[in-house]
Amino acid sequence: MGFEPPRQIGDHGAARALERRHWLRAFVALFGVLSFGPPFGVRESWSEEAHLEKWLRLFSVDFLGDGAALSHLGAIYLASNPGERNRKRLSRLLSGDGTNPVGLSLIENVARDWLEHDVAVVEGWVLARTEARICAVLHIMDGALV
Amino acid sequence: MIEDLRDLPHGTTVTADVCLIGAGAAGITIARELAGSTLRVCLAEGGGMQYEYQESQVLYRGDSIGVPVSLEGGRLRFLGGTTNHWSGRCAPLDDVDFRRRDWIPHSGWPIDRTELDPYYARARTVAGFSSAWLSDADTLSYLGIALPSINEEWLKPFLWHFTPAMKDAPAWRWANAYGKVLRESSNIHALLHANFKAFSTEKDRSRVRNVTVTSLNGVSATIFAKIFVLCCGGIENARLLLLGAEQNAGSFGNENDLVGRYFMQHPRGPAGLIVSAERMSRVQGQFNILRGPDDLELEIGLTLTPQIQEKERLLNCSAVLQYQGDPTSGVTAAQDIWRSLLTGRWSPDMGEKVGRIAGDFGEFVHGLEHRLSSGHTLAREGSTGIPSRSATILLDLEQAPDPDSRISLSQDRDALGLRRVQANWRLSELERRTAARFTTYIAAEFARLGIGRGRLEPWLQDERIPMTGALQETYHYIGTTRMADDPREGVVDRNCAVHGMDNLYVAGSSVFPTAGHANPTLTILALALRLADNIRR
Repeated sequence: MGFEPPRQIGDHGAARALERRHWLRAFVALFGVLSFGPPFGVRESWSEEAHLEKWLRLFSVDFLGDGAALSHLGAIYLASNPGERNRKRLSRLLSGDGTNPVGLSLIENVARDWLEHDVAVVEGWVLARTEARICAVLHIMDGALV
Repeated sequence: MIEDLRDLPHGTTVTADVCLIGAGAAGITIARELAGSTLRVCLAEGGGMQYEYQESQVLYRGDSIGVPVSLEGGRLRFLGGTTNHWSGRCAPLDDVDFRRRDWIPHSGWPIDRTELDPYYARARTVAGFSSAWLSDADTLSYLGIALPSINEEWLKPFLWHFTPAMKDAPAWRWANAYGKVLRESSNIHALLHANFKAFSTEKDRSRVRNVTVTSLNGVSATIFAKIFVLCCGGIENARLLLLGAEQNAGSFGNENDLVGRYFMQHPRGPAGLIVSAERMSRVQGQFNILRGPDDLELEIGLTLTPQIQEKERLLNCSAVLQYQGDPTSGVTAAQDIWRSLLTGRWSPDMGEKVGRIAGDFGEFVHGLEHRLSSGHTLAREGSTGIPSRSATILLDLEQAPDPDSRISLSQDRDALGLRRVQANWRLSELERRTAARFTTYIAAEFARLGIGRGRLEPWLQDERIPMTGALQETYHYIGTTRMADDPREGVVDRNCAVHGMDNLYVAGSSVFPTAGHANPTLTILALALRLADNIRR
């Protein structure tokens, strides 16, 4: 599986632009960066794609689960954070002002979450707030909520 | 001199300046300090020179009506007391442990850490350390360890020292280490199998006149002294005061019904799991039991900073990591091969195991070196030195002082006709919240640093899950004769003198108003040394 950085999104139609495929990849990128990269630095390039894929397979499948499992975490997160049960609102929270590529923005947000201890405990997993919101979007994209 | 009460004539009278009741960490330490002085010291110990169930230990039987307490198994009743199953893990209390914290009712000592610092230095010698400890920074430097850059506003590394003397256990026990002093000091008179039977007081109950001790074969003696010190441990100290108040219709520090209350331990249990796709070799070489300066064993863990404790209104606590060995590692393959050689049973997959060693050679050499230098044999079970991909976060928690968590007297009576003890140990939701927040901070920091991802145990996610299934007692019995300047708030004053009594003192962890997270022995010794100094004056 190759890896492409999520495309840059504009001010309008941000939510629609965030395809599930990209969310999944973004989520992988976040965990991958945190696992292999400098502690919370932003990658200059995606040169370690192979590492990220390997990490996805090991971490996501073995420890967190596949996309369905992440969606499940998202459902639980939304149950305890009903104010975020809205796709547009979530997308706004995640994509910021749209000046950065989504992947970069998410990585920065996760790094900031850890630094500010803005975390969510979902089924025991300690997630950065942004990670939990990504799971929530996955759940919404599963069609359970719009 | 050491004598056995069973060998003395019934009705013997002993006259001393100081009577120490109980020969454990506190009692032996005070006796040792007073050895060679002009004071005549009688040290009464209920047990003998070794473990005897029917002859002594059975007297520790009692009822546990709250969170289970091992009243018989958690304490040892013979010379050396509960030090006879001591692990030797030492650390002083933190500064914050002494403070009155407005978010923890009944917290605060009447003394601060600086009062104990000189005694901590001396306590280390008593505990068996032959040299002063380096500062934590110097220790880490000696070890060549650069710990991960954890956010020090939230978490800080914590070091425990293991007394080197315990490496020789069971040969090194307090009775062995200090028996010679007790035996050879002309002013020390140790009486074995001398079980407390009764206090006798002056008419106004402000002074203890004598204590009667008796052996289980019926020999009694009466000890007259100017000063009496209870050194029987966190449960028995309270019991003896309660018995004294009952026998003498009052006083013994119980005017305000405080004796036995605020019973605490250091609840210990798994709080979460750190998992990683990669081996955690670097962290495994840092947060672990390591060999330090002067061949000292050290353990590096984590604590919550006082700032976060205050900000989030939490208790003190500490954590260590327990690693699960990777079954695919070269070290486990070598273990299998070595065991096969020892047993002569050759399994068909030896070639694959040799291949695993070769394929994992770097980690194999490092892990083997760590395992052997830690005193583990290759064949022994356990994950030391075996590369790991996951680790359990194991917590030691401070407890919130709770007056309803208490030691009292049961209606049952022991072989001496005295009421047995009843323990009602309680845990509070503050312990659960502290554990959850602390573990969350650890997991978040480990995620940020790329070490691994953390998951909390179910008991930290759901308040309906009883904590008793996760937390265990540590046999650290604390708080039942707490120290306070105001008699309405404590049983003993800042000098460990029982409020309302002129010549009765208490030594041991029962006087701690709060427990911190650190193992209590070093603080017990420090307070015992301080009390010995006061007695000598």
